[in-house]
Amino acid sequence: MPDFLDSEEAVIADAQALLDAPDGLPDAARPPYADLLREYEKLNKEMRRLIRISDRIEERLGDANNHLAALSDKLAKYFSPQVYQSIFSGKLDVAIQTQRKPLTVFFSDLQGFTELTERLEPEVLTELLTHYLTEMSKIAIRWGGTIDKFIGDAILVFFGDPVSQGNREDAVACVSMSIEMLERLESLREFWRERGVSRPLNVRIGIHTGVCTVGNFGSEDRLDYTVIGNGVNLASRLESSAAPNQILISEDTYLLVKHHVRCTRTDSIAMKGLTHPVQAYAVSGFESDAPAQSAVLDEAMPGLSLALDPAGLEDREAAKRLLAAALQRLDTTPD
Amino acid sequence: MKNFMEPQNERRPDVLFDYENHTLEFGGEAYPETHDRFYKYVLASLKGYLAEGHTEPLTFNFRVIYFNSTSARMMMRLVDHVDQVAGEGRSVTINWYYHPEDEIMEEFGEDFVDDVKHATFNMIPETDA
Repeated sequence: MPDFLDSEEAVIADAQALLDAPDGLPDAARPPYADLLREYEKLNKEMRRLIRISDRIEERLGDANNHLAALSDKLAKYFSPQVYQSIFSGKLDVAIQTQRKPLTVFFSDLQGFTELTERLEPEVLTELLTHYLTEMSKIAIRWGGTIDKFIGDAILVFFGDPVSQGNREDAVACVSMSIEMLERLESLREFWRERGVSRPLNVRIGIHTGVCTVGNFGSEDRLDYTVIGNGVNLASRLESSAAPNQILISEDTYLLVKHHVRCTRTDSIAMKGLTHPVQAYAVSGFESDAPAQSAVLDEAMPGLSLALDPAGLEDREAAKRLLAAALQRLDTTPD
Repeated sequence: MKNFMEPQNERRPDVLFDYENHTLEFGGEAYPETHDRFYKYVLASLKGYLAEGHTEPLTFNFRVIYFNSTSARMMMRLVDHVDQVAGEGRSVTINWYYHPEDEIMEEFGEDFVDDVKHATFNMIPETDA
């Protein structure tokens, strides 16, 4: 391989030959020429060393970068992607800092999981839980949810921070995620039944939209990016009131998602700390999958404003009488 | 000659030239932002001291952890200057401290073993360097 400074070395050799030749240079020119050649040789040698050192430093920096990248990949698994991105892009300060924000909070729990832990071998249990949480996480991430934490088999996810698509959009994304989770759970249930886990995997889900406190909580040395507040407690309360494989949402969430999902009004739930019971709704699927006649109507034109939500009706007969009276009035009133 | 004492800061190396005791120290992390100005002062100070023509033995200790190309070039020049006075008859010892796992500093020092013509050049592995 040719030396990368071979042309400079050739110049030095020629110059040295000229200096050594008895008649090569006039006497007066010899001393400055010799100085010049010596300095040039020195510079050439320094350049060779500097380039080599620079390459070695670059190599070391490359190794350090690879090491940091590998470390950051490992650390990323401890964070929700949005939180990880926010920290690494510098948008989120790693300091105790919280804020009040409207969020949609999701809580889920596997029914009878504690009993399952006593019946299954630890290896099988670990595999089952990992499988379940991995599949649910994939869905949560796809819908843009921030996975706050896993508490055993329970999952806490929220929408609206650090990234929000808008309060309504966040609520719709959260409920849509839950529907997809239930669908996915069906195939998971089948998968584990074939592997001898006879007790089916059933999940209960609770969702509430409200103002919560979100951010970095903890000590100066150990931070946890999480959400706290009554909104979280309410989502948890809805979850524990849900039937197996049922999604129960609060009225606050319902009002935001009613055009997108089909819901049935259920019994209201008493909440500690709240004077009035909370009205809950059970989600039964996407509105787009429902027959046309059950769709919510929300139309307005000069002289007419109609907002009809069959699922939200408390007295269906009274509603029919009202609509009949409206039709009769249209027929009997002259143009 | 007044001592030249510049303790290290975030990016600048420790430059502690104790001319009274003829002991020079250059160490720490060396990638100063205003390297032109900083190293100009360092060189001017050293050259001024060497020009005074002291005859006492001189010791120069290098304990560098990390350096950029400018600092590498500066270290070469510092070594070159003290090697020149060694060539004029003064006893000069250059101690090159490096961490045993720091291949760059070790390799950099080994190059001086060949280049330094008159001074005594010692390669000294030091775990806490």
